[in-house]
Amino acid sequence: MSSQALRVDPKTQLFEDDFAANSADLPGAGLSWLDSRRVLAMESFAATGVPTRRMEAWKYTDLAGALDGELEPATLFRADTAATTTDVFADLPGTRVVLMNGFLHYIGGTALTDDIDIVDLTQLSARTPEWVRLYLGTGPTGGGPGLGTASLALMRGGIAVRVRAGAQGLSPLHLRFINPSRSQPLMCHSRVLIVLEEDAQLDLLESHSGVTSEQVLANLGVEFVLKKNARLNQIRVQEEGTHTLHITSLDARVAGGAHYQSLLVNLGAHLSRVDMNVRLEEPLASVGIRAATVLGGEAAADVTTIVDHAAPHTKSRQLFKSVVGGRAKAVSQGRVTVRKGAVKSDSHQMFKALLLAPRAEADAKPELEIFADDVVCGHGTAIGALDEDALFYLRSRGILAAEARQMMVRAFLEDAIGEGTSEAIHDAIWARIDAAMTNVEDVP
Amino acid sequence: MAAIEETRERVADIAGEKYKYGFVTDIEMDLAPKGLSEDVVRMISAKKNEPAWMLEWRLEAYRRWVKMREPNWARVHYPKIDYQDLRYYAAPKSQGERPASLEDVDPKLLETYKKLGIPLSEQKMLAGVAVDAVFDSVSVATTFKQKLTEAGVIFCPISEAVREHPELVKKYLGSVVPVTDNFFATLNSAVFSDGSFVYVPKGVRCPMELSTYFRINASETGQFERTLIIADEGAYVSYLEGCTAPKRDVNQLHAAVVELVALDGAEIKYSTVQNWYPGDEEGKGGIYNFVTKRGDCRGRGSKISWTQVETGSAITWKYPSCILRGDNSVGEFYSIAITNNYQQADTGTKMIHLGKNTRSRIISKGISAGHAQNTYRGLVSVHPKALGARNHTQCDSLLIGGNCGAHTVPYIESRNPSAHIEHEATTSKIGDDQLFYCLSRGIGQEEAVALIVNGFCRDVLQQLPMEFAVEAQKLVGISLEGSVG
Amino acid sequence: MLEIQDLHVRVDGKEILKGLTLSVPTGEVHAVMGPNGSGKSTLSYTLAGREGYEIVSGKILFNGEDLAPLSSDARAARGVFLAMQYPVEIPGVTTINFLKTALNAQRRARNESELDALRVLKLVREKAKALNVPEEMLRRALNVGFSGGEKKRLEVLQMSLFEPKLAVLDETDSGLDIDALRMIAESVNAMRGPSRTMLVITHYQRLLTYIVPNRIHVLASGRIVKSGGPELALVLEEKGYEHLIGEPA
Repeated sequence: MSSQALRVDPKTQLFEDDFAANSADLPGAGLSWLDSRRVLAMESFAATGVPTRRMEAWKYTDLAGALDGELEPATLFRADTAATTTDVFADLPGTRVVLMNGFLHYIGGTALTDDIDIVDLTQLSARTPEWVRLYLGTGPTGGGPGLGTASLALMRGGIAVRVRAGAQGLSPLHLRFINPSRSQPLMCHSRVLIVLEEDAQLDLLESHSGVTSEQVLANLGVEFVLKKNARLNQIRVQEEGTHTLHITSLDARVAGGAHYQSLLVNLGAHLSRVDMNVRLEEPLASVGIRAATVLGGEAAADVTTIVDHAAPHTKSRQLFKSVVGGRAKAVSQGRVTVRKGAVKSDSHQMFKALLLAPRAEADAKPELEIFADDVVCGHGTAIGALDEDALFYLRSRGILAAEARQMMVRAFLEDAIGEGTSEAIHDAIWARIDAAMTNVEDVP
Repeated sequence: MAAIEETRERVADIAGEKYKYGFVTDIEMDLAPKGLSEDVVRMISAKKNEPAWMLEWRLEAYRRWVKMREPNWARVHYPKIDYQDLRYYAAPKSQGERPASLEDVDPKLLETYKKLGIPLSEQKMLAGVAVDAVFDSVSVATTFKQKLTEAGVIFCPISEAVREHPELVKKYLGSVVPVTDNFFATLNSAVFSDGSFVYVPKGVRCPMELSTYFRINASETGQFERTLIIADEGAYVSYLEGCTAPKRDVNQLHAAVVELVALDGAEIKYSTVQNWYPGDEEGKGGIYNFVTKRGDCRGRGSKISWTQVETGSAITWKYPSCILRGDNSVGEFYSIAITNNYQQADTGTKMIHLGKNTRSRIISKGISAGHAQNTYRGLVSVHPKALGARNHTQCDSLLIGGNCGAHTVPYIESRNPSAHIEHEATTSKIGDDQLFYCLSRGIGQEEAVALIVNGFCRDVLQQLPMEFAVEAQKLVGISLEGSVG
Repeated sequence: MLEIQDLHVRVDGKEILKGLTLSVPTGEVHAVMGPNGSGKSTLSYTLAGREGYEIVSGKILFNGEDLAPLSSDARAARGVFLAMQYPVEIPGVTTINFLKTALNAQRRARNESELDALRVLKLVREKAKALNVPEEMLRRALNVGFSGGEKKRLEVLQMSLFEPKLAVLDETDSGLDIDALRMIAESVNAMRGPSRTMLVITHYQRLLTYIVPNRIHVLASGRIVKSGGPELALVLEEKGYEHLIGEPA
């Protein structure tokens, strides 16, 4: 069958039209290495189009259905809207980078040292450092799964960061993404590339927010490259506006002895999807992914991961916790692949969801794909309501119903959030979760 | 040269021992020409002396099927099947007029079943098990009919039920697996040849185990059996099917449909020991087992329990499922799937919770050896009205050797906050220490593997009726021969 | 008669036994004592024929037959039994079924007739009684959820059931309280006889006060560094291994 003949999808057309009309004016246009990567990415995107529920990987999340057909590409926009949303990590030290609709807006806070380089992706040129050229858009999924390819092909802005070999004890890097809406529906395609050279360490504090009245498609493609023995600790709070479709497509490559730790806190957006693709490339590479999702109203959040144990003696741990109220829907999908010969791989996934309202929904698809015999792999899933016996117990001790429920929800989420986070970060995250919980219709 | 020849023969002998059902019965057959068309559908219907409504039903299915596409989402790979290069009907000539009693059945057929370990003469049979013996496209004999009739139980070939009990067949056929359900089910609806029909009336506990033994014999012929079991209010029946086929280099298609209906308070226990020819050590030949099995817990407090031991077939594609419609109904799925050499299995279940306080339980044990790929695929879906639904799933994979694959693909969907769903999966291998422990106690390698694997499968084996559990345990060992060492 | 001659054994590429020589006449009980890491477990696994324990040179002769080419199960059929330090769990396989399978596999290999389930059960019950192994334990999955003491008792039960010609007891006393130790020692002592050879491998002399060996050998760094009568255990108890290892054998 010819894809040409079947092309009737106006939503995919939107992206193709943008590329056709604007590719010559995109940042870095004319750089042959980038041009060819963009063309490939666009072809790869066009081959599948905007994901629909007919695609196995998008079975539970209707992106095509949610997408506005009239989205306009975002343009560079300088205005002080930063103040309109709360900065989750405002009280924490570090270097602050603000991106507005995907464009680098501001760098401040703790001054950068020689150990860290930051490149504004709107400024790509022949003088762009070699490491950007080496890694940008070269991840194993060719720019990222789903809309990741489109974020590369149509990239308007974003940043690239490199931490030099052996650099440790740096002050945290804050990436604050603000995606406000403007007078009309908007699509923002941006990229983040972070390269940690050998033995480098970085704490990354990421927040995504925005006040919206029109649809905003925040389409972010992320690449992490962890060289030998590097450590990346990512903490990410997503509380996008109620009209936002938040799509993050993330590729992480983890070399020998390196460790990538990620905590995803999903509290906002009309629809959010984080696609994580982690490849454990060499022995002793490891990854830990934790997600805490709190949803109410009509929101939908989808965390989908693929962890590829491509080498022996690699380890992965995943723990996803979702609290769902209203008519919201939380989706957890995770595929763990252990390749042939990747013996002594050690992997575990646990997905848990609490449904708090009669029309709330949780879907889970933990998947194992094992091609080596000497492995320890497992997964577990549990979906249910708050334990009535425990609630009763708390109430019998004089605790009010609402408070008892809150205690239990907190306890449920705590093991996803608690481990390995500093007290200040822990408190900052809980403050946002508590705020989000008030929006979760907790109808007994 | 002679020595080489002798070695070859010995190797062939050894390979042959592993699948001892691989012989061919030399018998004169009545064969349909190759290919599928409306004419072939009409021919099958005519052979069975079917009423017009049945032919219409088939034709409607055929017309739908022509427009359908073969599914490709399962983790199985095989060359494209040429549906025009198959025969859709094959029956022993001697069965032209189905013999009225066992004495009249062609001795060659009786001999075949005897060799398969299924003696059809009632004196020699396992007491308490009635058998319907299906040979290619026809049922050749059904035992203990008299005793069952006395209890009010109908147990007969489905072709006979179409003629003798049209009101029941019309009411229930296609009511669980609709004609348009999926590519293979629709194909089956058009060309199904034989299979068993069971009706257990209100309040009757079927006095014996019922079983159907399916035998593929003819070459280049598909087998399309259709089974329909209805347990009326408060009834109970336990049913078991077994399947074997000759060794052949070419793949053969088996596309069955099984429908179960359990009314208020009824219980159906359905067990399968599937041992179709799996192909040889190189992956040549074997049966494509593409089967749609579904049970409808239509009544309140009804229960359907599937137990399957899948050791045969080159490719297995089947998901025996339960629709838990009635309040307080219960669905169970217990499965052992063993793949060795180049076998591929993509099997599991669907538990659809529609009614209040419905409960389901899934235990799946997948064993993969050689170059085989073994996938568990399962759905647990709780609908908004299924207040208080419960599911527990345990899904374990065992890998033997570094060239095989074991995969787990569960779909878990909850749309009711009062439901509790729990799923757990593990992947492991036979421990070197376990193997050594057995060896050091004098147990040989193959026996040790069989012992450990049987232990791994114990929770499922326990669900089989006593008479078959022992057979199944032996089969587990035989299927894995040569997988270690 | 067990004769081990200049045995060198490699595990994971590393030589653990480095010229071990030892002989135990039929009908005698010898003990091998040694500190951690001296090669005690390697010796017991090598005798039982565990894969990965590679004999580089030297010989193990049992009643004149070289054991090296024999697989573990073939050795068991010839009457070699190892009571393991860490008995293995096998989920889903009931203990009684395991015992029956093993007993009949050995009998089959020796061209003896197999015993039916009832006969095996009767036999096992007899042995179980002496070791205070409850009937209920026999129906549980092999070693799964057994306490340390239960596992060891089951090992000795197997020994008395299989009636081996060569019994190797590897740290059978570890993890046992005094009553259990006494009971196990009694069972082992009851099995001493003119046609049975036993090798008791242990770190501590405690067990040897209950099972008094004909001779004691001290293993250090993969070789026997000293041999002597039962009194050697007391010397070791008093002075420790260091005192001995320093000395030439």
